[in-house]
Amino acid sequence: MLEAKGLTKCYASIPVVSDISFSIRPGEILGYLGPNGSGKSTTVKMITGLLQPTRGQVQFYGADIQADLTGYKRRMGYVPEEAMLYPYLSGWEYLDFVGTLRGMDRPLLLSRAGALLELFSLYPHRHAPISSYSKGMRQRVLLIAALMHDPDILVFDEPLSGLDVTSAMIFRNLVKSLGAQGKIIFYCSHVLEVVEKLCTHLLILRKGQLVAYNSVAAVREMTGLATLERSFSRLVQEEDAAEIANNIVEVMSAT
Amino acid sequence: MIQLINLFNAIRAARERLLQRPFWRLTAHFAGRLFSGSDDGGEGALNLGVGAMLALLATPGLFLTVLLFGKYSPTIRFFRGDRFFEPYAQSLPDQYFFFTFSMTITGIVVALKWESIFPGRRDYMNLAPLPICTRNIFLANMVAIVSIAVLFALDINSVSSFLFPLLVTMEKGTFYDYLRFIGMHVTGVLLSSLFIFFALFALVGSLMALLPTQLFHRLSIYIRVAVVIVMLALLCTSFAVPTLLRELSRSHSVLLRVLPPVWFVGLARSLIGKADPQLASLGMFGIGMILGVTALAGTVYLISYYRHFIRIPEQLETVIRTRAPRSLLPQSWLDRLLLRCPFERACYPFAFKTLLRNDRQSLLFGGIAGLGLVLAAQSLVAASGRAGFQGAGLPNPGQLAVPLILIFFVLCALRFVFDLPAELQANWAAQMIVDTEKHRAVPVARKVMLSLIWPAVIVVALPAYSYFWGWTVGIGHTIVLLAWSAGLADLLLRRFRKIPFTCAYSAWKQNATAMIVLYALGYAAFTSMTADFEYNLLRRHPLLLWIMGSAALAAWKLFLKFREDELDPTDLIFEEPPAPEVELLNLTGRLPSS
Repeated sequence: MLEAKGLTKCYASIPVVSDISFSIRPGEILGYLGPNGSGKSTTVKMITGLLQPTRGQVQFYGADIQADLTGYKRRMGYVPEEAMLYPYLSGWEYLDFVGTLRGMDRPLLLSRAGALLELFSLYPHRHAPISSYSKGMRQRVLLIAALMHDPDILVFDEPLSGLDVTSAMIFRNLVKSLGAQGKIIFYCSHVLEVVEKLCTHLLILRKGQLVAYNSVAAVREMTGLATLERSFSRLVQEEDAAEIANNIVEVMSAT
Repeated sequence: MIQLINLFNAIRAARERLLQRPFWRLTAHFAGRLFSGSDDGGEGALNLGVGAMLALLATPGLFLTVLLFGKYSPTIRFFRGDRFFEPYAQSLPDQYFFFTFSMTITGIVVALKWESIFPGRRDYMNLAPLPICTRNIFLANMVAIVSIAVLFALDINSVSSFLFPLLVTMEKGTFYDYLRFIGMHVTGVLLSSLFIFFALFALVGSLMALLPTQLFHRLSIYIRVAVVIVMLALLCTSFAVPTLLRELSRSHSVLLRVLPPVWFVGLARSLIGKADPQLASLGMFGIGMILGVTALAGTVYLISYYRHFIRIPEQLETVIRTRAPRSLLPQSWLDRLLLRCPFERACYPFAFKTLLRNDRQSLLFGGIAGLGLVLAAQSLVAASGRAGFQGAGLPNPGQLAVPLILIFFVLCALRFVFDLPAELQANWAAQMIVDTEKHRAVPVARKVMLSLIWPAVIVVALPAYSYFWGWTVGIGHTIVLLAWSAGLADLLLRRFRKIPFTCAYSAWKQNATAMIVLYALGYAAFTSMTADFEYNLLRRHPLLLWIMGSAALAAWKLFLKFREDELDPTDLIFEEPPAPEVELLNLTGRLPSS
């Protein structure tokens, strides 16, 4: 089980994330939602061990992840928000590099990388440099790199970014299957429909504060609204979206 | 043969085994990264493979050694009538040059690969989530860069390390002397390269450790350009310093003693017992210095680990810039005075910002302009050494040529970098918006060029020449500089039909040799011939310079008037057409049907 206990992160004593607590059991998929600047990425970085919390702890089966960070990272797969890959490596070289650094057994690494490249339709392009890949192809490389070592915890930060419809559908089904297999999945996204369909639980952030944390149905029930989109708007938006849109049109046509 | 193949296979297998261990795989990755571009430059990027880069670095050493054959060959010397030749003594200037050359190349490579020396944001994002201790990431990078530094030093001198000792010892030395000379030469070049490498490494690390991150990134490019200029200046000392070294015991020059190549020449020659006590003591000083910079480099590397690397995720969370950049002139003034149409108003600031902010463009521009600065400084020192600054007299051609050299290099550097694409993937915006048939590419490029030259001419050259040689000479020379720079800019921009920095593929790759010859001839014509011509006019009457310069300036304005009345007839391009695979001679003279 992955648990966040009172996670707080401050920059120059200004809290970016304040006192966030949640837990994800094996087989659960936690959807992490919030508008831009609400502290989602900061939480992701604390969950993955890239950032140390100012206060609070991230625990994996009761132990602070900072106590054995390398061991924790060995059991985690992470798809970052931005596909910052080494452009001069090919897709194959990148996966070989990551797999070796993870200490994967070589034959296993080669067979899994090959099979996953095939399944993600990247096999014909595996020797082309990443600089020539489209955004979706880079995202698929990141997904393979995160899945290749069969991790227990999966942290996805906007994983659908750049993926085409087919790849996105495959990915959604994949996340469900991984959940059913007992993986711990942390899913951070802006796409409410996907979160609504995929996630078992939901956590909504606003300005670094937790505003809702429960099952998807319970969050909808709490707000008394039919869809997650409306619930989300009720919980986090300070301004009327329709009014802002009208204002934009007015500015565009102003002389 | 079979044994050799087995040996290769065994080495290959051992390498494979080693690379399966995470630490060594990481080390290999960091080493390989130094040979590759670290950004998504695409086709326009100047990325070289390992083999190409090593071959490129080794080539100048080969040519330099071959050029020395005439000096050391007994047969050629016999025909020259040069019978009293002491190869060891005569090898001092060449050795100084080889050491300086190693330092210069290493320094320039460090300046070019500055961003890859320390693990950065991309490394952090890719490597930190993996189960590797961050200390190991940093340690692997350290191992990689030290290995690469040694490899570069050996590679730059790979040919000269064997051929140069052979040339020196072939007449009077034994095979043992040859081996000793090799050992001495390799030690010297290796230590020279390592010294400059660690010195620059310490400089980068210290700046990273001391300065706020944003300020470091803003200053980084200027420091790198300064490093390139210093390196070129160091190389230019090869022309004067070796002569002075022969009289080191009688000279009290401090400058001579602080030049790093002198220390390593002293060290190398004391290894074979060919150094006088002064030179030998400088060699010992060199050992102290290399130990010092190595220790400093290690320390700042450690500090930067805590100060910079482990704070990358925090830096990613913070907003980069909070205030708007300040401009020297208000935008409305620029629009009224300089930029007369939307195309110019958009492309002129874009070109300037790319030139100042993009690493590749700034470094290349700085490097070429820096070479001009070094040559101009040499011309000034040589000319003033001969004649001094005569208050009442006339400037000699060397003194007149100083700004001309700078102008030539700055304009050529700009023309060269305009062809290098900055970010090809971002071109779509220009391609979507600009009407390629109605553009003002040449006026924009000319304005960028002249806005770097003309203010400097008026603010620096005019007061300087007026102060030393009077207002008549100052104004006359300034008019000539303005007219000549304008003429050269337009000459360089013939057939230019691009928005600077936006076009893929550079035509200069096709005919680089012809271009270099052309530029060399152009340099002679623009600097020496103009300066001689100006000097002759000044000798007749200083006002003749005014008349000649004003006439040239008026002719240029007239040329612009005719040209700018109509738009450029050629279409704007975003991709240079590649050279045809097969070129027809077209002996009949008939135009091919399209």
